[in-house]
Amino acid sequence: MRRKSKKFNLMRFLRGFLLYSLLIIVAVYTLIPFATVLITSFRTEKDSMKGPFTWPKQWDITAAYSNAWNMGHFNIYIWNSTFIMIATVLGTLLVSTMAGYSFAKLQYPGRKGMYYLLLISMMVPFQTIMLPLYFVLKGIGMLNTLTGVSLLLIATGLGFAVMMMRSFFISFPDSLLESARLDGCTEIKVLCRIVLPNTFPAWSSLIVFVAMGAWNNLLAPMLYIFNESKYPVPYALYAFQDAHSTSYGLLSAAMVISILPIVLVYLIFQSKFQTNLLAGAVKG
Amino acid sequence: MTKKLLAFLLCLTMVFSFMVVSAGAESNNQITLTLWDSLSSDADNAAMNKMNALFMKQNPNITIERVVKTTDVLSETLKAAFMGGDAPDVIYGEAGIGDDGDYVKAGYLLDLTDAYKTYGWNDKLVSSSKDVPSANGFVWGVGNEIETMSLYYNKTVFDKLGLTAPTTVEELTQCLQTITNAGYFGLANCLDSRWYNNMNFLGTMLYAFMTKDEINACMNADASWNLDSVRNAIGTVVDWLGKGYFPDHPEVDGDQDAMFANSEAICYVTGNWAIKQMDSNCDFEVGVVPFPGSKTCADGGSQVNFVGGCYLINAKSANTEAALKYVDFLVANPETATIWAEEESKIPPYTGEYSANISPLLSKAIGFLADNSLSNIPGVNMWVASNTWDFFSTAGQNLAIGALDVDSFISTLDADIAKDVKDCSTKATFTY
Amino acid sequence: MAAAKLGFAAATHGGNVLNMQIKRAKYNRSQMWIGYLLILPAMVLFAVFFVYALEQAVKYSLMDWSGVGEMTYIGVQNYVSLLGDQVFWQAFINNWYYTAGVIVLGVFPGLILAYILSQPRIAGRGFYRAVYFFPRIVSAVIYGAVWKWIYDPRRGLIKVIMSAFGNNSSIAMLGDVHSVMLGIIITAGWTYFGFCMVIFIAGFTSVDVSLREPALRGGANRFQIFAHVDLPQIRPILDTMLVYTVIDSFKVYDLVLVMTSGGPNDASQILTYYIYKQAFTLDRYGYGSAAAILLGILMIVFTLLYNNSIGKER
Repeated sequence: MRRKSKKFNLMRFLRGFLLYSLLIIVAVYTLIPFATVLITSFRTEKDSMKGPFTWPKQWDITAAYSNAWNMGHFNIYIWNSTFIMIATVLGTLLVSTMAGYSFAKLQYPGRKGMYYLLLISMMVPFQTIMLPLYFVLKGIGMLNTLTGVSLLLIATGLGFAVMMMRSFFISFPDSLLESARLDGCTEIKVLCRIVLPNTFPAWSSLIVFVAMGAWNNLLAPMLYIFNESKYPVPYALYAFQDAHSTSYGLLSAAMVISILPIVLVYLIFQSKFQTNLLAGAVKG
Repeated sequence: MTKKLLAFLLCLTMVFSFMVVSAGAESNNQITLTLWDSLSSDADNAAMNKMNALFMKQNPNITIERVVKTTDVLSETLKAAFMGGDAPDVIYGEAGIGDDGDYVKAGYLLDLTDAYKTYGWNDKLVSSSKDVPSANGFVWGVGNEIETMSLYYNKTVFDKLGLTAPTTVEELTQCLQTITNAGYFGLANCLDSRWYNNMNFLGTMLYAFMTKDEINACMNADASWNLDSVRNAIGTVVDWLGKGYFPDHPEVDGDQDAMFANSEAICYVTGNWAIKQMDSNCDFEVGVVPFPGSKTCADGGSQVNFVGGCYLINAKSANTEAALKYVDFLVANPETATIWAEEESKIPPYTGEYSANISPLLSKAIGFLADNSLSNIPGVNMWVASNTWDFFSTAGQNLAIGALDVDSFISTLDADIAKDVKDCSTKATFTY
Repeated sequence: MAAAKLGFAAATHGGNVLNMQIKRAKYNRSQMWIGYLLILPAMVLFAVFFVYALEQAVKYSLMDWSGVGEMTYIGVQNYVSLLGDQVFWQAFINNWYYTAGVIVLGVFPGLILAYILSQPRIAGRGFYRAVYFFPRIVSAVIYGAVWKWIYDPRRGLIKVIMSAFGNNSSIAMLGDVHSVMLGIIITAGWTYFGFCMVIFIAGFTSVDVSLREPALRGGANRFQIFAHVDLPQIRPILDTMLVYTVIDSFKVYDLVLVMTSGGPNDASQILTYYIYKQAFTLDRYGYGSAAAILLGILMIVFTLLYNNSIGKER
């Protein structure tokens, strides 16, 4: 009896050890690039010139950041990116919730057809329609505006967003809706009073996706925005890299500045990340 | 839901009203000229703003509205803007036929031939200022930021190894061998994924072997590149690659400036734009000589010049007179010449007198441009058309990985030129 | 409202019965109007920003046009030239290579890690989840640049590690035509596995654990349980993730732009970059549009075929 339990403990210990080693190694692998950037941003210019993977000898915590901030006008770019991100998220939530609910719960002819049409827009890459979109934006007078770019991002992201919301609503219990209708609520009231307050779990996941996509989008602003004062962050960073390819320290500081806001969004919503909803959407 | 809708509409309204207010800023005799440029680095940016401020002070009825972009974005968005009818009045962009030819053909750019006479630019500016942005009698721009490729080297290490600055390519080869034997990289140049690294280096090597007549034939008459001089030039590059004079794996994007500044690589084939960071980052004495020609070259080779930027004027602009006045201020004026030279370490096209407090390296480079014993010719970047451009922008990398050799280099190049000739986009076939 | 929330979980199964009753009723008038109204904004955006734009793109693809100036109608000639263009096929193959690579280095590790992390009694689960997902939120401009530093044969991380072990040769991951795609794929996998993992974790947590009992009693080991009991249950999620991965991978652009610009010698050329280069760098906008349309068609066909085959399986 005793011998058996000792052996059992050894096997379990070994398995646990291997498992956790694997997890930790993968975690290190994941974090190395970030650690490098962070460390490099704290070195002096001369020191970082030796290379990003050399042992740091001289430290200067703030120099790279203040240089990057001043040279890079990042306060403007961050404001622009934040505007695009918020506008895109709000717009997407609004439009896709309405459409998703309608596709999931309401009956009318052509419902399935229109939904599948919308899905097709997910498959066609942005490059296919990027130049015609210039003229679309110009036609509605929204060229070179942050609002125009946001509108474009909302439209191109609709396929995925509607798919997610529809899937969430499909698993929403009809009985609740029925009882509300029987109580005499109009459809609008049903939507506002019963459905919406319960939608937050799906929204958290969608927010992270849409915010991420809007913040990191490089190509759309590159094509449709002409004023430097309206550049969003990734594009500004790309231009910054272009002009300062030698300065590892400066670049690293600029990178850190660029990802801080999106990291904040991630940290806030990450815990509310209802992954079962996400998987449900993926199933649908 | 209503709250969110309200918030969204509020945002929309705010943005719209902001746009309306800023648009309504023009009135009376005020002329507003819009300028698009790619002077995004800090020094350039500050200098351009300074020049604009100076101009606006001297011309209070003209306001300059400036928009900055990176070079590749400038060219894409410019295309779209011309088509859409909202292009700016003045553009500071690339000068070459490859970049601007299409615009000329489509009638978007103003012919400046008369302006050159009226404003005296034919005499006041260096010749490449006009030679580069022109073809078949149409002059579409005023060249600025004159640049020249030279051989920069680490004088401290040269002295240590007992070397003197080479006067021929063959001598340079020997220097590179000595340097490599001593454990350094001979050249800091990488032939990687970036077009400028390929074109600048290859162009310089080619001009060291080709005679002026050969260059002119290729530049203005679409002559074939199947020449002995070309074979020698590319053969030398292949030879150097084989002997390891370049940094390890030159085909991978590399940090040329850093390698030179760290004394890892001792020679650097680059242009005067690199002087600014050399002055601040190099702890050693930097020497510079005109890039040596080959012994096999009948006229001793030519120096590669670039016109780094060029002022273009929108043919459909409502204020062409004001625009011309503005450009004249920017190029043919001792005040702006001083700003270009001092603050940006860039060489202005102005040939008149001006005072400037500049680094010794820069004054040497300016000296090369003024030296009559040297032949200064616009480099290939300045006159090749799209397909040829595409060829040259990766030719160096392809040579480095062995995808091209001397023969295939020449045959592919000639094939691409034939494509451009068919498209009528070369200098010789240019119609508008 | 609180009652409604509590009722959520309980009502899920009951809802199905009611659903059927609703379907049998004829279309409710007010429902219909509300239905159309609610999808109106989405469909308007769709029509303007997708349908119209696509139509224009098709029009351009039938023209010989440099993007500026006049257009000349040339019918399907662009498409014919495309099919004969070696670089186009190289890009096409590279896209499939990239997709396969992302599946191997992203989806599968994600699956395995998800399985591990969904086991009970794993310490620090939330921490690992957060860490592994992190690369996904960063823009390609940033991580592409950093991985380029890592791959640098002269002073990159790989070189530093190799030198520490006394090996002085250098590997140019991004400089060798045979390894450049692999280098890009490794970076892409690094970004992607966390995302896949998060999705699969959800799938695994909803797996019916009771189904494992009979298998355990039958003497199956952990691996067999995984393959025959758990895996089939998450099959729907796996299928959808695979389709999503293929579509998403074909859209890759930023990463290649930042790391190699399609080189060396078009070894890392991919369709989206090819389209961009043809249209903007080489001034062949009609030709580029044709390539773009082909890419779109390819994606649609693939999705339809795949969905069809899944449907048949079930």
